[in-house]
Amino acid sequence: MLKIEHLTKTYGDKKAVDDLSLHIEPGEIYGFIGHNGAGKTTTIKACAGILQFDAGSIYIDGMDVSKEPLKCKQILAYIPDNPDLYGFLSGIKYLNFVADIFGVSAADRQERIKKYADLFGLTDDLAQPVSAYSHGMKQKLAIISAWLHAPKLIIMDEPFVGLDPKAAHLLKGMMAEHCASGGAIFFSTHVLEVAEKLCDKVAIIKEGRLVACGTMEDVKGTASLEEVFLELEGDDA
Amino acid sequence: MLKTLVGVRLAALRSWFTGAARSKKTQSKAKLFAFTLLMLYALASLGFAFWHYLSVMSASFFEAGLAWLYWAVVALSDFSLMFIGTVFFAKAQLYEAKDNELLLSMPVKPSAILVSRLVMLLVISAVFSLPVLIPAAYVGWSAAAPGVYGVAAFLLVFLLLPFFALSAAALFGWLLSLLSARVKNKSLFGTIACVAAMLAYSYFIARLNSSMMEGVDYAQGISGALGGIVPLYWIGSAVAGSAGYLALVCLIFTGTSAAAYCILSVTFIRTATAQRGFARAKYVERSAKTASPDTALLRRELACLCSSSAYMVNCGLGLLMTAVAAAALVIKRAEVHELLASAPELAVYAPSALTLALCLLAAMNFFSAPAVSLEGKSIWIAQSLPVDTKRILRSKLKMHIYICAPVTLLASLICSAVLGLGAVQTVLVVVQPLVFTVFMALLGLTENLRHPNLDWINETQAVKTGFGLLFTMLISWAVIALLVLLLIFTGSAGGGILTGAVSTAVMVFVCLLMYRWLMNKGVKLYRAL
Repeated sequence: MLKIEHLTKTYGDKKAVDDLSLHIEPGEIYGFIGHNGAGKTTTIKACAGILQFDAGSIYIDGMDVSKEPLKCKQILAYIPDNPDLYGFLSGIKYLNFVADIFGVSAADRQERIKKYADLFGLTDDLAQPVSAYSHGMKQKLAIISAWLHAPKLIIMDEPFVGLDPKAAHLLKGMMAEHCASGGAIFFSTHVLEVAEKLCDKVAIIKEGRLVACGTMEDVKGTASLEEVFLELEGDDA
Repeated sequence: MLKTLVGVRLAALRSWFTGAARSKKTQSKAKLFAFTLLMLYALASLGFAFWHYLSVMSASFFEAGLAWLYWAVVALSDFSLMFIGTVFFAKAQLYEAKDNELLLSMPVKPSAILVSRLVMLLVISAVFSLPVLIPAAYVGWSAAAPGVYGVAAFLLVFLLLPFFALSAAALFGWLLSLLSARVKNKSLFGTIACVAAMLAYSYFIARLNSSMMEGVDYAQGISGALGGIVPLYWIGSAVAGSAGYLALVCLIFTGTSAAAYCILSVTFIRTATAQRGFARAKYVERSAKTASPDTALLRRELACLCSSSAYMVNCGLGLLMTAVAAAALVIKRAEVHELLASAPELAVYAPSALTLALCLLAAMNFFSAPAVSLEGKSIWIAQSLPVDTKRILRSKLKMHIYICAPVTLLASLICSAVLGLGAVQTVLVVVQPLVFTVFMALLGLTENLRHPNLDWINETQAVKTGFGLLFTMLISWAVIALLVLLLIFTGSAGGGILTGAVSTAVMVFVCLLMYRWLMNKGVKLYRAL
């Protein structure tokens, strides 16, 4: 579903991502963890087709992100770490805007908006301008907009930040359901307990380089993910 | 603490104007120097316009022994420019700044936060004031040598006037903030308030100007009118030589500024942290309607425009003035016909003059100029969606053209009908301003892509500041000046039709080149944001 091969991105003198390779199969929830500034967001943005990279290739469902960006974006959804949405639109208008871009039919969008807005308790606020939303409400709206067009691959950058416990629990359920029906999820998080329980596979990035990747059992063994992470971080932790 | 806050505010001001905030690199000295030169040129141009305006006025006023009237008009012009220039900033900076809550959560006195913001607004006021005061002093002191008192009074009055103007702008901004919290459609409310204020101000200035052109006799009339506005008489007299009025004016300025500061400081925390009152809209589920991606993108642009009174007013001034100009021509058609009948040599130029006037008004519309900047931190949405960047850029062009073209077209047709132009002349009067409208759309977007400003705290910054907008204004004025020179040098041959047709064709070619640039280089620039 997502294949990253020798991805490299440099900002000035600093290599934000250095020769990173990952492979995510359909049905997998893939966690991506690393210290602040490790290169997680850079990798995620490159996969979402937002950031141009210096070397390497990224394939989404066999399509090269650099050569066929629109086709790749059609089947993926991206949620950034900070959900800066269009404050001048109401919640429902924002969702309709996204649905129009993705060409979601009227029946499908109506059904999905109702389903997910009711699930997150956002229905009553859909008529309010997004600028009136709290951070958590914006995050919920961003999540709904991501699920709206039934993407194959969902890429999320720290999706649990700002969510209340109920919403976080709902999101985990949605993620599991998405992957159970053949989709894939690639997300970064600092909450290692969530990654440990939720993810099928995990990759740990340190200073732009992959230091560990594989199934959760392969990576952490009998230790906790936190112990493994701290050990890999070494003296810098 | 206050020094630190003021330093931060002034640094923010500098970065807004120079676009340093968006650049991850330190601005080079050459760029800063170039920017400084550009700002000085813009200020000098405005100063030259005021010098001309004041020179015309001073001759008749000083001759009639009405020196106070001259200084009263200078004070009024200075106050108006400062008020209009800072009122939007005042509202945004004092009450809608996104770092208000952060600062209030720190061990920082609210009064220090307020003062630091007021200092920044004072700096902006002072910048707006310079193009008025420097020519005013030169013209006024050339007409009548000031002496020590005159210089001292001028400095005292015009150093205190920015405090008074800022107090008025801040209080007006506070009032607007309070009222808009209770109104559902805030942007419409703000737009109507600003347009009403501008129309009232324009009417007053137009009446003043037309009276001034009548010469000395009407100076007496104006003095009667302005004298009725007693404070203006006091200000004018203070600078003209009355020590008593000088003391009074200084007392009023300092007193009102102190009172305004007290009101603002008492209400600052409550107003700055109040929930941006949104009259709550009830969600009613309706059957969903689909739209094409192009329609969705255009709707997004229009929603962004309609959500911001600063955007609408600052970038749509030309639309308002086009409508007013067309209406004025209809109302005054008898006088216009009389003028043209009495001066056949002027009548020959009428179609060209009308065309240039409509182009000038079109040059005052800048909807596309901040369209990329206004994406701000939500630019990731457009970049992550499966929509061609070309369509995104076209939606911004369409927004500008779809709003401006109908108004320009209607005004062209009305004005052509009023002037009784022939078919060929009417085609020129209609086509050239429309082409200029398209040119403005392309120019604004081009300059915004070359000089975007995505790191703004409120949309007023994105709409009012930045190289993109500045270059769009300067280039459009330069093109208008070129068209005027072209007409002057080619004469009135065929009523300027041939010149107009050739210049329109050249402009169409330029528009095609700009469009091509946008769809190639512009796309790359947008993707790299």
